[in-house]
Amino acid sequence: MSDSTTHPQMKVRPEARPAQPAAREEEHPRLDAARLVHVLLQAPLNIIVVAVSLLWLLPTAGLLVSSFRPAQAISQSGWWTALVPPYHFVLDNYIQVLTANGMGQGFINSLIITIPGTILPILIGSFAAYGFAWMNFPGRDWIFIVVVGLLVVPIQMTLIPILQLYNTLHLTGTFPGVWLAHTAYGLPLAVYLLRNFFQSLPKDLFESARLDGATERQIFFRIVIPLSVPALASLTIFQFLWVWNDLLVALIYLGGDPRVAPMTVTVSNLVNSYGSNYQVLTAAAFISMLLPLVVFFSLQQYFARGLLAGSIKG
Amino acid sequence: MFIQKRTGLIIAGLLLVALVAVACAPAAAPTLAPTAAATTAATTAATTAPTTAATTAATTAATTAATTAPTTSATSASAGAPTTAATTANLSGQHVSVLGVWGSSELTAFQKVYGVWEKQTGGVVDWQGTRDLTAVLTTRVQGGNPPDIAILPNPALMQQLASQGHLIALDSFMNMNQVKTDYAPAWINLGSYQNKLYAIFYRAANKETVWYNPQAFTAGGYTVPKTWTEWMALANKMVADGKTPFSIAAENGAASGWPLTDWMSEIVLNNCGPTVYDQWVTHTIPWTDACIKQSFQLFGTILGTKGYVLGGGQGVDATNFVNGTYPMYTNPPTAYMDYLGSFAQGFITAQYPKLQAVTGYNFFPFPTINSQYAGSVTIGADVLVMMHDTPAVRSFMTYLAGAPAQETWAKLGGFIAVNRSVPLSAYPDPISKAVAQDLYTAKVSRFGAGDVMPAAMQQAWWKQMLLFAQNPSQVDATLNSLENSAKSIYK
Repeated sequence: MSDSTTHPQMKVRPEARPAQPAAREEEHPRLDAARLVHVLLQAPLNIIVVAVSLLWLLPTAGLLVSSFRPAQAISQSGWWTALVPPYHFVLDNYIQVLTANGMGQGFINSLIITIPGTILPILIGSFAAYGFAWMNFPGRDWIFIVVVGLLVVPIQMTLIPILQLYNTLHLTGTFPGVWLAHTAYGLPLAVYLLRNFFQSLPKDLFESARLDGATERQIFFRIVIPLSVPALASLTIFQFLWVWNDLLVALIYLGGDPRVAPMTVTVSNLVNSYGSNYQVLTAAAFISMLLPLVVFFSLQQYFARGLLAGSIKG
Repeated sequence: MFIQKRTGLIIAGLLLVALVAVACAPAAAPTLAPTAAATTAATTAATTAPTTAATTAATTAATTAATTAPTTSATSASAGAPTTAATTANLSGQHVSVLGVWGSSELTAFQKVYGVWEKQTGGVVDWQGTRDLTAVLTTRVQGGNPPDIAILPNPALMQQLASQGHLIALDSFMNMNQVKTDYAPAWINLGSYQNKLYAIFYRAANKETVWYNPQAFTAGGYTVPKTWTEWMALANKMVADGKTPFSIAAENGAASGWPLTDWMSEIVLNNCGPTVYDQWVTHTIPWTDACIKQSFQLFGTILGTKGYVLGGGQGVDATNFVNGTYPMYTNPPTAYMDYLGSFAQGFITAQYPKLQAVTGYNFFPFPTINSQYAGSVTIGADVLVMMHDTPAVRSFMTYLAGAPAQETWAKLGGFIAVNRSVPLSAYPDPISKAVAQDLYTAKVSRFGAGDVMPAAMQQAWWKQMLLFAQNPSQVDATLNSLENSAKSIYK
């Protein structure tokens, strides 16, 4: 953040130099003073940002350290005590998770659930959002309000009625059932976010596209989608994380059957009924975090980009 | 062309909204729960028809139990092998889903147990594990998709499900003579609803055990107390020596407080006897009853006496119950005694694998409070119930109830069988053998009070005990508050 704000100023000054070469020596100390003032002014902000980030990272760091500690040590002393010699780190927890029964199947099931569970709501959500943002039909605003209203329906309240519906449709314990559930749970947010984003696109774009004879489909795929990559990318990350980390929906609609159960269910079976053996959860947390991290970093570049960079040039 | 595309999109959008609305709309009316439940019954009637038919058949058959017995006599130990052999052909490829809370080493052991049945019959067991069993099971029952077999944590939930008609009566197909040989009458009573057997108790916990470190006792010159008076004298001696006698730990997430209600159950049973205990559990006497009050005062003495409990009231509420089993075995020990059910053995051996049973760690039975009720034991057990009636489920249920299945797990450790036909020689170490023996020979045994009370009462009691640990002198306030909760919960 601070980088992008300081850069333009520093670039401006060298440009001004050739005009007044004589003043160069005098300006130099002033420049340093200005920079110093600038740095000092920015310092509290930077310190707060760094402190807050560290504070937020602290539990994760503790989890990481714990995941490499033997079970006995975890229950006897805090994770920070492991940071001073004598060091005693082991891979037991990771080995136990990776060799656990059904973990590979769980990983594959998680992928089978998560990929359609991410693509479907975003695809359908973006269609709907386009309709809400740029098409006129009766009752548009009311329907949109209903969709937004669905955001506040707690997921737990939907479990029983949907399970009843699934039983009659024979969707219980099947992947399509979970895809539909995740799609439905993800749609209100997807529609809401994308509709607001689509609406912020300049009206001129659509007018000129229509003047050029573009159909709605062409406008959507050629103009709206390419311009909305940052919004779509952030939504993808949200939805992916939500579906990947989900335990409740899978337990209810899939029933925890090992043939279809995702990794979260397999991991939760690593802890016994008294909650002991929980140290393996620390390792499991990091293993299941790997794929979402890959997704995050591969989509992350789109966030930084200017949302409308280059779209209305020429 | 343009307009067609447009209307197409509109229709798609409308469909979408309709879909989402349909998906979520029923939930918008949670107050209509009974109606919703009724609809479920109606909508799922078609699918469950065979089951219900079977159930009614079963119920009628139950009245003529003698005739049903030979057909599925199968039940256990001796008769187990022939039945399973007979059903081998029918069951291959048939699935039995089992919902339970076990994980980790428990699950590995249970997999070995059902592996034997799978090999014998060709059936397949689908284990569905969750530690939030009550919520998941309730949702799935309401949604019309219960598992074939559920392993419940307490009989209160079983009674509730039985009263709602969600369970299959076991006496319809099990050989009741065999069941009566294998299970003490108290267990059969606990598992029955309106004189029909609905539940088999499977994995028991003996909750009379006070864990201690024999070496530390020898080093300090302490002897195992037999009576409450001796116990308090011992505690005073330890305090005089500058040591902390008790480790009491009650933290367990949302279920925090249950180790304290276990304490109270054991004290009430030993202090007031089984009659008062039963009246207290069913709320035919109030919480403010004189003997219940006296029992709370006894526990209040332990919690409130300065220097008795490691960490004081704060320590009790903030320490995880598993970690509470450790302080006896550190060097030097930070506490000397920990009252917790027989499952504590698993925690101790996991944390200190080198400790020898009996010499390194051991238990003594809960000291006698009233000599009239000496040897009273509170217990806990997982509860097996059956929710779908198919030949495979019947076969698996019968197998689990029998002695061989329970013996298999007992040999692997961490398991005290409820089936009394399981020989004591099956237990792999002297401590679990002693625990099992005490359980079978106990003069008086009762299920832990909290697990038999309605769930709402149990939870209110947990919370009150956490407060009581902080203010052990407030016996009257605690009991009045519990009595108020009880008045609204029991009807």
